[in-house]
Amino acid sequence: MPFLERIGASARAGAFAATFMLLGSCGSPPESASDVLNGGFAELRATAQDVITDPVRQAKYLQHCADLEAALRGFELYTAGFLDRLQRQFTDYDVERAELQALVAEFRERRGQAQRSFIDAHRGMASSVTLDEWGQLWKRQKKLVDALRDASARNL
Amino acid sequence: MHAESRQGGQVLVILLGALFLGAGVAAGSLATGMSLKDLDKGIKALDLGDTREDQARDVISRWEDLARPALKQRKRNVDAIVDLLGEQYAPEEKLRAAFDALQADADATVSGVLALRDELRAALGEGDWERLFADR
Repeated sequence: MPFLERIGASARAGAFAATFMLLGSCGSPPESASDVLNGGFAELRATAQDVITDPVRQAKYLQHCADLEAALRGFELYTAGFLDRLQRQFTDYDVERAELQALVAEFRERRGQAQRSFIDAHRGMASSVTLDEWGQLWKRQKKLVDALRDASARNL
Repeated sequence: MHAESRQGGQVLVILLGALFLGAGVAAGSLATGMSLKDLDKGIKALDLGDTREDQARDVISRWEDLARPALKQRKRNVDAIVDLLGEQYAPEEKLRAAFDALQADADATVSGVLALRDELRAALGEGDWERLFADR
């Protein structure tokens, strides 16, 4: 079954923005975030290999794609730990607001780093391809972004 | 909600679109592991007496008031980012500004939620606070 059809509504999805999964409605068991990332990036790479015929540009695009994946995986790992700490501290009566503010400030810093890495990788991907290639690649990515947003809304 | 799926949803929410924080915290579940609806139910179950219950539930009501526009604003902010991401040569400064706007709104929401936490904490007191979050 294609990757895009396998993602369940509660998929433990760690993918993000210009990436790579579609929420299926088939009720399949949820996949791990790692599965989603693996499948999503594999699909993107395969699409790029089909669409970008020039080997030099293709290699460049794939390198930026790898950079994006690394940024996402690093931030996902950090975020999982952050959420644990946030909930623990938020629900601890003895924790004062200043401690929570410090925790959030730390998150903000890491988020900024991840954002910069993301933007750099995204721009690198965009600048590696022609307008026509970008149109085809983005069309795929946009579907995935929309599905992620739907899943996000359901999980709030 | 099952812890695994809740955590999955949270991670997804956090990562989605723009590395944001605010709207998810506004909705309650990111910060507490409970939805605002469940928090409200939990407060009712504490049997606090009319005055304290009213105070605590008023905090939740205002938390909901904070969450609703925050979620709408997040949607607008993420829409703007996605539109820019789709442009092959969107100016970098525009892209960064769009992320910054999203994050500024998120940060303002988080500040509001932290203030509401203080109010809820005062309304409940230590014992009832710990009962409310006993499963966390």
